[in-house]
Amino acid sequence: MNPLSLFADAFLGMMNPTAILLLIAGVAVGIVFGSIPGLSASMAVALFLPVTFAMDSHEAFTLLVSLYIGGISGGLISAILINIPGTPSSVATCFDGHPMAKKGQASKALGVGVVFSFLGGLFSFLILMFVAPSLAKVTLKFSAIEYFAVCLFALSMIAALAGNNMVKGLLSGCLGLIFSLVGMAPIDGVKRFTFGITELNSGFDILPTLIGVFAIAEVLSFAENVTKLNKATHIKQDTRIKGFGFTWKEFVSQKWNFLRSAAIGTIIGILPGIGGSTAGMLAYITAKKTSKYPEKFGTGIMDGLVASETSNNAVVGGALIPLLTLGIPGDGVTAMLLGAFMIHGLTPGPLLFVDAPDVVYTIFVACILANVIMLVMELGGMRVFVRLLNIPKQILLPIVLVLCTVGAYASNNRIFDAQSIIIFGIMSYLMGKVKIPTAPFILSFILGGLLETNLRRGLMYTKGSFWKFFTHPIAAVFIVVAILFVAWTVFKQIRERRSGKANQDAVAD
Amino acid sequence: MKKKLLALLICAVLIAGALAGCGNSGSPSKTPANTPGSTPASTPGSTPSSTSPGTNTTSWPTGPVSIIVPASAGGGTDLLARVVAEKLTQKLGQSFVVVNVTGAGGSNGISQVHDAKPDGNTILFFHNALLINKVSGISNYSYDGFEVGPHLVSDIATGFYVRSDAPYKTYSELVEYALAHPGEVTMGVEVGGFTYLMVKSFEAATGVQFNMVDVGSNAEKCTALLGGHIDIMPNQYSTAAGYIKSGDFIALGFPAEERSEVYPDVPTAKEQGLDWLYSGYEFGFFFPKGTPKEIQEKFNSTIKGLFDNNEIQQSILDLGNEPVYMSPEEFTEKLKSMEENYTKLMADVQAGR
Amino acid sequence: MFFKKYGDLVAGIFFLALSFFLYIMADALPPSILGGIGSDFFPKIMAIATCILSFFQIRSGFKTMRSRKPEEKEAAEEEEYKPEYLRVLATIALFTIYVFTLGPVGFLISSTLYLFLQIIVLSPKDKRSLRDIIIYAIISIVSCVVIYFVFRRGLNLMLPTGILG
Repeated sequence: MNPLSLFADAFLGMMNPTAILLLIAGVAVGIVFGSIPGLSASMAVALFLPVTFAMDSHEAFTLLVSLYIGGISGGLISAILINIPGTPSSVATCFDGHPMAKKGQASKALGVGVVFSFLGGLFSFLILMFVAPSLAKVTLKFSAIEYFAVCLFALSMIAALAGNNMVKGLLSGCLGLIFSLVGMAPIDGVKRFTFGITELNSGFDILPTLIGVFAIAEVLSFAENVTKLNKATHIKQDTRIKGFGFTWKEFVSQKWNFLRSAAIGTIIGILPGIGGSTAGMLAYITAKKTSKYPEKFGTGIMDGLVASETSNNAVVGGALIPLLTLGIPGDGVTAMLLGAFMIHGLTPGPLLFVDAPDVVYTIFVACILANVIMLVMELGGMRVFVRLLNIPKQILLPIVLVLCTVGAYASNNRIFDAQSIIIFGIMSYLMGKVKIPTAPFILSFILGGLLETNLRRGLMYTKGSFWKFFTHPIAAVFIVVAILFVAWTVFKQIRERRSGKANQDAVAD
Repeated sequence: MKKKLLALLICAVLIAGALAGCGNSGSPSKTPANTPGSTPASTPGSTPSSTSPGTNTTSWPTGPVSIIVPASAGGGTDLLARVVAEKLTQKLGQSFVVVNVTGAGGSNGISQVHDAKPDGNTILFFHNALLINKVSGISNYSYDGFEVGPHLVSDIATGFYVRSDAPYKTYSELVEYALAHPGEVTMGVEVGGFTYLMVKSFEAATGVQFNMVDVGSNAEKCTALLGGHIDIMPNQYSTAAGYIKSGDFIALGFPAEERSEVYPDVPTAKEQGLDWLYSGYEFGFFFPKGTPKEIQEKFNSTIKGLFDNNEIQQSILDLGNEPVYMSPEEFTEKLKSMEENYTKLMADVQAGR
Repeated sequence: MFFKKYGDLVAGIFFLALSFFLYIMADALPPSILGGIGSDFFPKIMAIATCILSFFQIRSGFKTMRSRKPEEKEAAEEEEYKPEYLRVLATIALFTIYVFTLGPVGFLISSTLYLFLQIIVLSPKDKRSLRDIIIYAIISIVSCVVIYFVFRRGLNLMLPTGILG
């Protein structure tokens, strides 16, 4: 059973009209779902899952994988063009992607995003194919204790997202954590802050939160300035795109950023439960922290975009690693893929490679091919996407809101999810007015539940002793780094403020 | 601007057409019953009157029916529901659509059906979690908040699993070891759920005390066991199947009366001399209170028909579960005794701590 | 402007109040059935952290308030265009009504009406001629119908039916 020959077989097996059609249709539909805020990659997979039951197993997985890849990457389109992430994974893409579009460089931003999505995915697929089994063992070493430490570490990065005003950033983070508390508590199921509203028992869903924070806030800030924007000169979009939109020199300058972000994405994909949005944000923050010009992040530079898009696509390959080698699902989509395995009579687990190598290699081939098709489609569609910016915003934004509402409803078939958008919309708008950043809020909202659950589970392992956490080496490392990181950032801010005060008297806004 | 908008609209319509084409390949019947103005709720014939058996005059279903599954797509419950939904669509001529409503231990989906219009177009498909939610206080009602429908599937293949390198390979060995080392054997459960009560009933039956750790869903339990963070876990055979096959896990046995039809090689706890019985997952349907009797009867007889004609059994067996038909009355009896058991176990837990 | 001068201070006070509220509500929670830290632990920690941070925020809020005075006149001249809060409020109101009528009235009618009205609210005064309004109406109807068909028929996703379906 030579891997190369298995790969060749799978590749040849893919060269038939049905499979190619599924690849193309899957990626296309995935991109549509990914690019429309409110609809996500996991929704696309969930919707087409029953359709695949009747198919042959190879065809089924080809379609599902294509949807997944198209969906995750499609999010960058709306993130860059209208500052609303199409899927949760593309949150960090908004930070630098949209400012680039505002400067008239939308085509370049799209080009960068698409190419690096492709490369990030490719990186993780290569790792998946060649290094998978040994990496999967890493997943097993992580118990609740280690997860808690990782979450704590990720949260400590909020200190970096806080920007200039540490207090406001931390308050934003606290707010996110507080919102994540609403609902039934982990483990003992005690209802917290639900005020008797039964729909709140499961807490706030991530999709309405993102829609509220990004979409509603965007619409409201547009509403504030309609007359002003109407009179302002329309920023000319630079549509003379040469090739991918950026130069070879720029590409090479990103190599370390790329490698680092791809590694972050793959690793987070391997650790079940953390997710693409966290990966994107962590990669972005890391890029900012290790950059020579961190103050430029957020104004529309390539680095931030590269970091975010590379890592969120790398999560795909990473999530497939524990799924295919050990039968452990890494996120919602891979959990559905598990179900697909079962329906086709395949038993996911350590023996999948042995029992059904053809299906496994079909998945590998599908990943690579779908990735390529995604690249071609998005680059080819770039001109059309940028034209979308010509639709007057007063028409485009409301349509997007309707789609978001549909998406919020459809994500769990509850009107309540659509209704909860308002809370986050108003909150985010007010936060914007007092200049409290929303990025820390989102990161802590996503991680809050994980943090508490794993802390309490971890304490069950150590029978109530927190100090025993430090006997777990991996956990100890992450916790210590987290604490040091926050402390260092705080001290740096205090030092900067002290030297800044010596130069100027009044506090700038 | 107008030209571009037109182009965009044409694109949208084309995409809509394309998606309509490929999305419909799965559902065989798309009757034109969705014309505006003819909502199912206003159909005549669905008045709650009693009919004599054999003369069911209801015209239900006249539109798409939602089968609410309070679990995520691709999971065990979901797959079962989809298998049945397909058969029902064929038999009754209207599309039966599986709708996933997850969250809050299933109570999101449960309460949605509970509060739905009792016109037969919203049906719940779920299992024991319906009872356990009430017992643990998450929900205010149990099966008594619904009209109970027919029972479809039993999954008695839930038992304890250990790694192959564990110092105990049978229940008696486990009990012996655990009694000698109280509170040391780490049992991974989902606190407050099915597996939690299962372990509690085992502890009550044997006097053993485990070190309970919450590890989450059935899939997460497998990961924890594989990684060595827990020593033993309660789980469904179908979830652990891959690892049993690869030799990483051993199934200790099922707490059932008889061996499983699907996994006949696994012994029961009873055979091993352990007086421990615990009902497995019992899947069935539930209607909102007030759903007309005729609709319930039609549904019930359709399901029974599937069993009588042997049309559904194989699909259920393929999913690793046992097809067992029970009439609504029989199912209600079973639910009653299960809930009594859970209530007692939960009361012991609350008193013991 | 109000926000620029008092914003920081108000935010600080809000967070302080929130932290108190949080702590009180957390205290009322029952202890865990398994012992160890209960579900009140995390909320209480968050309450304390928020409380401490809000003190810093209030302090900086006072600084901002005091330092804003001499710059007020300049700022008022700079702002040729005042933020159009009426539009913002109208948008919030429209969207709120939309999500609450979605269930009873149904997707098609709700969305079409919402889209139409929202576009008008967001249009600048010179883009509100009769011709424009008719275009907006057509766009609203067509988009909602397309969305409806794509989701309901194409993807088999149930959308709230309400009156029309």
